[in-house]
Amino acid sequence: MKKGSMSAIINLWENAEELAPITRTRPIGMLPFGGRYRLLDFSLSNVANADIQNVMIAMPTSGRSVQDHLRSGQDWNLDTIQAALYTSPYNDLSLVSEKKRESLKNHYYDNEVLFLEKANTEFTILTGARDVTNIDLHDVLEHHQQSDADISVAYKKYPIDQVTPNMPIVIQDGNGMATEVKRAQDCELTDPVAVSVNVAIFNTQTLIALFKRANELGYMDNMDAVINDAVENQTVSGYEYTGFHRRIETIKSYVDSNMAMLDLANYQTLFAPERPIYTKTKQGAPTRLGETAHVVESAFASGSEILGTVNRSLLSRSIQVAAGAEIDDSIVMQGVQVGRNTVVKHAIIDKNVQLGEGLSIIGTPDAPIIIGKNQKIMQQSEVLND
Amino acid sequence: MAKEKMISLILAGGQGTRLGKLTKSTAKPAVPFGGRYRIIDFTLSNVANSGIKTAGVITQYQPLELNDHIGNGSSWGLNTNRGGVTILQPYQTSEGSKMFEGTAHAIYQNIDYIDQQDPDYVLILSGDHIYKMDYDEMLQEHKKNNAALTVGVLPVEWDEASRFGIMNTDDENRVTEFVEKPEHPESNLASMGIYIFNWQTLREYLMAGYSGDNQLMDFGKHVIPLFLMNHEKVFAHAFNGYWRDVGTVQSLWQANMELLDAPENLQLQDKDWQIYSQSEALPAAMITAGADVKNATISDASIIEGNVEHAVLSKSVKVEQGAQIKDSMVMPGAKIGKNAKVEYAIIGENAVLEEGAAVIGTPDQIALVGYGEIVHGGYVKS
Repeated sequence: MKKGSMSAIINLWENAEELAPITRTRPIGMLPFGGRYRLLDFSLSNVANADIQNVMIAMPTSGRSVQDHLRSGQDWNLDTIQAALYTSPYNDLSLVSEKKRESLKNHYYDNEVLFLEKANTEFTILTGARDVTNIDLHDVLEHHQQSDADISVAYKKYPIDQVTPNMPIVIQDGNGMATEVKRAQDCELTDPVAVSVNVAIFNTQTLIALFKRANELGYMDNMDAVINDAVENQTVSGYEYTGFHRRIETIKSYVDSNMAMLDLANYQTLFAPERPIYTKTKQGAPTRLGETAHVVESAFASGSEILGTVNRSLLSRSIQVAAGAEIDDSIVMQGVQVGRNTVVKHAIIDKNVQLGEGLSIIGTPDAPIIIGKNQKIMQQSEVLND
Repeated sequence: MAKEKMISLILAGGQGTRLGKLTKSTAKPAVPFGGRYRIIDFTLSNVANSGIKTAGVITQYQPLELNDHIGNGSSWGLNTNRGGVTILQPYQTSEGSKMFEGTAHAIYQNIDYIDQQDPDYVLILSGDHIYKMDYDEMLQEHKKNNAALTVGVLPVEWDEASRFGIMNTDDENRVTEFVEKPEHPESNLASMGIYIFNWQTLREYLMAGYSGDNQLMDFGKHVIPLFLMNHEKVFAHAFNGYWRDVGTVQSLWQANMELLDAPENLQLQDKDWQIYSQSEALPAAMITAGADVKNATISDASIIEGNVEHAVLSKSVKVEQGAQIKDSMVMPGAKIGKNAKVEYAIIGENAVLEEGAAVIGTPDQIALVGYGEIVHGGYVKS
């Protein structure tokens, strides 16, 4: 198969309501994952590992955090002379003026159409960022080419007891053709269940036609809606993916998926050396564990200094954990400082939070406590106010 | 008036024979240090942090890994269009081979490169020392003194002074005499092998020397004595910070242990004078349930299932269950198998200690496992 036969659109406008407040200042794709990555890194690495050179990233708002992460795209080999990374901001029309909205009528999908026509590849991958996978898109393409379908959607088979109500299910007929993608709560499920991993491949001409048709109808919605409608009217084939998959939908699934990384088997499956996961590279000193440190079952990035106890937790870069502090079952984002004798349990501590001494920040497995970005908490009374 | 320009030339050709097998296939400046760095990162970061835009890295011995590490210099922010990193390697010309035979000779052989850069000053550095230094301060002093040459010096313990090249100076820090390993030192200012020259002056000396029969091979042995003899203004610039020559297995180990025992020396976490290195996207490091790690540095993609105490571990190191590492430095990609034991040792890049292997040194005799070396199970190496 020749290079350059696929383009990709990564849609970062994903429903983040159930992930508030950690998605208040960022799209789901920018959430830290596995101590070292952002969720977007997985889609972007899948694309990079399939030598896809034309990539468009659609963002709900300005996407400052996305731009900062992507820079030139160099870390995913997308800044070469052959490659191109486009970003398209402000797709969420609830955030723009009435006038602007009016002007976009019948033109809302122009960016996508323009991108696809310019890229001029036979096939296009459409994906998001809330699903963590390490999927071989060459293999998806091969399946699609053999299927004679207009669209192929990737799914993973889940035991029925692991399916949650919101999961998108790929309904198939007896011939492996997909007829519908519906939420689990709206389907009659039979074990095992084909859960969409939110990776689809389109014949590019089909996709362009879909966007143009949506423009004509004056449709202005998340492109996922356009796609879901299409599944019912086109021939769609199902592709079975068997690798690691987690779907980040709620705070609980965000925490559980991160915790899954602490299982060495999962870690080694997801970070398979043949398809590395790339991210923005950063400089930083190695992480130092002091003499008083006690760290088990945890993952951490560089630049941290740990003098306290850490159990079953994921720590991003440049984190200070003072002596006597204890962090259990938690996700700690970059730049956080935890003071002496402070106990953090079942918590998500967002970026650059400062926690004083002797505090108790304690949530439960089902309802982790969340400390929002940049907060400075020095007194126990301030904890409850959040 | 345009700002006067200083370029840096980093001598990175050293074979580093005293590092034994660690430098068998790698130049000394490319030897890993401190978990995330290679030795040359300190010099390159000093250059970048001092605001110097141009670096010529002069290599010779086993340059492959070094070239690979430096790349286009982007890791140090040296990939701008106002400067950049150039790897300078010996080459053949119609007049014969241009192998470098001494520090000054290496500069002479690269005159074409330096002329192309057209600097006012050249800063000559060695690529194999561990320290943080602002070369711009040294340049300001050089200008103030209106010097032809300024030599970076380090005050050493008096009883050690006879091991170094010593600069005797007057009250104004002007060098009056340079003595190589004096029996009875008159000063404790040891040359660090760091020089700022007025380029035109140095150029004239080199050209005159090599066109006649005074071949100025070495700065210490030939150039400085000649400058002094001719009453050129030579000044000493004292550096009072932490500085280590990691030229032996023992000193390399020692400097790594000092990162744990006295992290304030190098302050690697200090964002104002960051030590940059090539960085890769690797997964987070992982410490599993049965592990016990204290007083150690851990880097990306390492998986620790065993016991680690007082050790510097680099990226992608695997420590399997029951393995024990103490008082040691482990380089990138090494694997310490089940129940293996490592004490007072340096484990080279990608070395493999099989299940039950033991590498045991003493504080005075550090055990060394070379790059890619395999230590079989049941075998005790010391």
